[in-house]
Amino acid sequence: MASEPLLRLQAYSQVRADGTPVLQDLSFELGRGEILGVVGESGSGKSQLLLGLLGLAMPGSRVSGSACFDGIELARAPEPVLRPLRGRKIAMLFQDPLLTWNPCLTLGSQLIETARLHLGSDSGTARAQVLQALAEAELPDAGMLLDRYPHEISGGMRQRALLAMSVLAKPALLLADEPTTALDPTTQRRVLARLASLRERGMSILLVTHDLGVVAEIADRVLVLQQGVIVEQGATAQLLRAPASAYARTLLDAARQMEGLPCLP
Amino acid sequence: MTPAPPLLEARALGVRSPGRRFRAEPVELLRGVDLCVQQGQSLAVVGESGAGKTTLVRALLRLVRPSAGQVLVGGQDLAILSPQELREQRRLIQVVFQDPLASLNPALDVLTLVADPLRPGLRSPLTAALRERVVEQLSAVGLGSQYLSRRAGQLSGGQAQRVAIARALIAEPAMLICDEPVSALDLALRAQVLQLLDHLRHTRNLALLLVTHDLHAARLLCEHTLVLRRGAVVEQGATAALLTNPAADYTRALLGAMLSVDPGRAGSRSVS
Repeated sequence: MASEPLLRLQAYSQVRADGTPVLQDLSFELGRGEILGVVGESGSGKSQLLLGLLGLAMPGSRVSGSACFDGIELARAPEPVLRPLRGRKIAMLFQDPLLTWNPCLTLGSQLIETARLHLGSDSGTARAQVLQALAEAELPDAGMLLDRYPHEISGGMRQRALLAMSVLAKPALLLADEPTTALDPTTQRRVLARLASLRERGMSILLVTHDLGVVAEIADRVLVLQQGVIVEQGATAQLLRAPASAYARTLLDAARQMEGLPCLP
Repeated sequence: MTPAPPLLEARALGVRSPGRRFRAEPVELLRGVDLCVQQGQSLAVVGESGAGKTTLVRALLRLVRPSAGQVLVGGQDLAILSPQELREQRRLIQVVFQDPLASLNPALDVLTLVADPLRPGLRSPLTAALRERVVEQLSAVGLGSQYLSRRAGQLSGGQAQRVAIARALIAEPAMLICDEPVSALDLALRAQVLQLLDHLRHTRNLALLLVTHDLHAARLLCEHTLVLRRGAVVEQGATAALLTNPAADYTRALLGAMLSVDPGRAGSRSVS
């Protein structure tokens, strides 16, 4: 059924081995073709949420509640269930492309390996698929890019190529952890435009950021996390007009100050 | 009487670097950059990554040798100064770098770090008078004396950047050069640190050169703005005029790329 959300969390919690709660009682839904912004200060559990969904919570963590992805229960799911989902149905995009790419291999070999692994292509087909993915990401000179090592291209190109790799298998859900924080404004806008075009094609995106400008630009709805608890969730426009939580208000006031806008009443 | 020479001036400044590959052609990192900052004035240098913003800062401080043109501080060409004279000129212009946790030695305490510019070496005594001056500078950046014994590695990003500013101020410079001073900080802290810089500038009549890719920061802090692209100046002029009515397409593109949290404008602009 098309109206069924792609991802639904109910009372989802993560507790570390030493008993420290990381995420407490999260309940939210992510619709198909929707971008949900996840906002929160450092240490609020944003990244742990993304990792937890992939079954990569810290070793020894206890996960409770439910995280249902397209009819599959992710919470406490065993490896054989999770492995075929990772990279194919649920992909991850990290903040720092220099840390994500293997510095010793060319972009081409890493992209082609990904295509072979997730699409099961032979090497000739994989190469064609990679070139097409880079063209779709509007990266110039895709052929030349394949022979480059990650350090040889600019940070913006690295992140755009990484995004192309993340969505190579056309996953239904993209988990993006601060994907534009390290980029300058023009590149940031290109990456955001690409995310928006992926949404048009029905991809759902869970977008972790602390930049409300990014949220304002592309998120349909926003969820505010503080110390592992959801303190606010709702439509983006609503949050920008009248944030309910103190944290969202602080962030918004700071952002408005930077823009020279008056603080909200 | 002739007017006083500008505090900092660059004339047709160029910097060249050897190519990245063996025997490659040299790369022009900066070409023909002219800029001028008078006593107490502020100039923003904006541009994308790779535009040459940091190279420009390094050339202005003579941390790299320009391949063309001149840098004049108070009318004196830095190229012809003796090392002692250069040292004195450098005291006049202090720098605050992007990442305070990288520019401050994490093993040293705040007292040692901030007092450093006034001591001939780390073994020279930390006198009570020196300590007094450190406390004074820390309070100017909003930090109490309880921070004196903290090590840089124990500070948060915002606190560390305040310490870096205090260290720059203690040398009583005529000018601060801030290279992306807030881009490593949490967004909630950025406005605070920029406001601190603005306040210090006005209370101490400091000149400011702010390197940033954030046009909002340029608008908040600087009377003049210079747009740099691929090592060359695209345009420069009064910030208000440049941001409301840019002459160059490139400046317009940079402006168009800025995100807004204003509910009326958010998400309404397209990619350029």
